[in-house]
Amino acid sequence: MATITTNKFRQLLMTKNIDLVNDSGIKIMLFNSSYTPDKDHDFVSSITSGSSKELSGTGYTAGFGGSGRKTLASRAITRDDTADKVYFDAADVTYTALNAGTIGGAAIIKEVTSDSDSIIVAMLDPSDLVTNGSDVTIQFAADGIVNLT
Amino acid sequence: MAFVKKYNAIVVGTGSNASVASGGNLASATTYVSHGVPVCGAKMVVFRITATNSSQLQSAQVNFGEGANRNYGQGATAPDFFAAASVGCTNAGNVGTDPTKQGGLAYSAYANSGKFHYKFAQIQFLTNATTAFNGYVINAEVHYDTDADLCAAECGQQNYVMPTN
Repeated sequence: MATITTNKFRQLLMTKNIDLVNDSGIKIMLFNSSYTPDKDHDFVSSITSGSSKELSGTGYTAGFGGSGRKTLASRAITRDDTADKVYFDAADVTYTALNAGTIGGAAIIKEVTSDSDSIIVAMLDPSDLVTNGSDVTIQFAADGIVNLT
Repeated sequence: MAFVKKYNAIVVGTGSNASVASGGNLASATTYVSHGVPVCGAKMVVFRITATNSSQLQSAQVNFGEGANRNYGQGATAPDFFAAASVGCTNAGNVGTDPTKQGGLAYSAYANSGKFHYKFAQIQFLTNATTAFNGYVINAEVHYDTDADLCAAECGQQNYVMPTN
């Protein structure tokens, strides 16, 4: 599955209530293969409530404010008039010595005060990756993490 | 096919003991650590210490680590997927209590989950309280279940490529 943005994010975007470049708490989190991305999932608690589907294990501390949720650096918005799209991008993220089972995908989030009010911006759902204790680099696509066409 | 990869004459070599070379003498009552050997993907690692005189180790343990500085010492705090077990070391009557004999003093660790996930393993040991280890040599054997396990271990970095937009 390709990248999807949530309805909540798009609502916040149109009402000028989120700024992916300048807001604090813009992070990436990883989920396991039990989670199915859904545009209707507004908050991180959709992933973590009940039996949490956030990744957890060596090299990844799950939960609000956990070290597994890494702040995105070098955030930028790029306008591409040739491809007629605007995209959000950030620097690749590396997890050191990750041994936490299978990665099902990643979510771009904005942490606020808890998982219940932390917004899911987008979900990236490539093929699963079985961690083996090596460093894992999350490589964002050349055309960014999230785009509007 | 299962096979064993051998690492011979491993140098004692980090921190204050970095100048001690394999084949030299290890002073008594001193803690040493060896250079690490790659173990990711293996199911077992065995370190052997031999010497030209008869002595025994006071204690020994296998440490695991990774990264640029390898962060050794996690053996004692990460028992979730391996168990360190001594084979002969200082216990009288066990194989290898005499380092001058074939096999020497052996110390091994097994992957509980079937494969090590740490990249490197080293042996840390305390020499006998009164007797030096003369002409010591440290060897290691890393046991793999399959060729593929070794290949995966040596690949190291994993990349998780996000979809294009």
